[in-house]
Amino acid sequence: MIEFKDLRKSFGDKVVLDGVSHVMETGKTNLIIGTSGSGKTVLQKCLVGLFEPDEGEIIYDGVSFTDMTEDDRKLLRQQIGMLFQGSALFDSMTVEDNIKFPLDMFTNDSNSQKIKRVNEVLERVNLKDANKKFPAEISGGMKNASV
Amino acid sequence: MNFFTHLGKYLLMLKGMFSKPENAKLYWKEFMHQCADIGIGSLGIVTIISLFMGAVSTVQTAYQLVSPLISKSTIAQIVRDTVILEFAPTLVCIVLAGVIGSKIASELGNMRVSEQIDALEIMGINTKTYLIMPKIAAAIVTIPLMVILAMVLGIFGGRFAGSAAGILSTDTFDKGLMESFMPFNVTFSLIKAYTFAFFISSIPAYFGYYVTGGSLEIGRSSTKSVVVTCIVILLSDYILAAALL
Ligand SMILES: Nc1ncnc2c1ncn2[C@@H]1O[C@H](COP(=O)(O)OP(=O)(O)O)[C@@H](O)[C@H]1O
Ligand SMILES: [Mg+2]
Repeated sequence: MIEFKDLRKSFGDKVVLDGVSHVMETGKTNLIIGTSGSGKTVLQKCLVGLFEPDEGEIIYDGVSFTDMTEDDRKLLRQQIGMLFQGSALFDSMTVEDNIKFPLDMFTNDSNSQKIKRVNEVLERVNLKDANKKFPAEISGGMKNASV
Repeated sequence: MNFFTHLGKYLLMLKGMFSKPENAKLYWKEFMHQCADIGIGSLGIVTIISLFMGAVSTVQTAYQLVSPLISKSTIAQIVRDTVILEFAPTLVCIVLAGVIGSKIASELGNMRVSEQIDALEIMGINTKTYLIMPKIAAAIVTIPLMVILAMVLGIFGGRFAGSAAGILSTDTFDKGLMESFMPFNVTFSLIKAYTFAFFISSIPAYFGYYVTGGSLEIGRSSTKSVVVTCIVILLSDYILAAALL
């Protein structure tokens, strides 16, 4: 469950979030809608800790973000997925390496285990033969599938 | 933002770089990758400017030294000292600031704008450590090596130009090279090289890492980072010379 209270965030003198509060309950799907530039992305980035809100509190399962140590935050972030507007794939790596990257960084699995996992994931999103392609070579929808 | 805001943010960025790598092997791989990119990628331009700056200094020194009282071998001495003291470290680093600096700034800027840095942060990776540290380390390892190469090639270029233009024979040149040589000059030059290497990598990294906006801003901040780096290099060149010579 994610709860946020009275979030405020401005860039310079441009106020983007002006006291936003909400409770997102476990198991429910929440939808944030708004016109372009209204602050949807800024709100999401505050929730995952990429932006520090100027004021307000964010509580994950009863623990306030401000009370977490840097290590707690890291663990929390690894449980959160976020789809970026620009897909955020590493242009210099193939699709396979992109998916493998977090596994390389955080696990000690053998290479064949990791490749197996990559293939499972790609199959699930119908991108079976895209392993060796670079992000520039696949379409936008296909990119989002691999994030 | 004023100068002190930037300076503070730059210093905090450097401080934020020192954290424990999540996975030493990947960091090592990234470091090696940067060494190849920064070092091997700039070898060509360093070779060309070194040969020519040596050649030009021989020809111009000979042109300025017209007195029959001064022996020809003095030309070699002057070429040696200017190449070692100033041309190899400063000129080469100014050029590298353009080549390497713009590359670092635009690479990081592109990663910032396309949210690749955000994605890494979400995974729980310290992006300052993972993206900036290997670049600075690679620059500090490879740039001084290129400066040493520039010294050798610069002197060689001068020697070749001297004999090709009939100014002085290679024997006279070699004799001049060994007259009143001060090993400290090489040490001093390397101190400069290490200092400049740090600026060439860290200043553009700052400009790239904190870019906001789109592709237009990437280009703008990459140009700005090169200008700022050049000014800082020249300023520290003067400060080091005043302090150590
Ligand atoms: N890093 C930033 N610096 C300054 N202004 C920003 C930044 N990020 C977003 N903004 C501003 O915040 C506003 C909301 O942006 P955003 O949340 O991306 O909108 P959207 O709802 O379309 O996702 C925009 O006007 C944008 O200019
Ligand atoms: Mg958005």
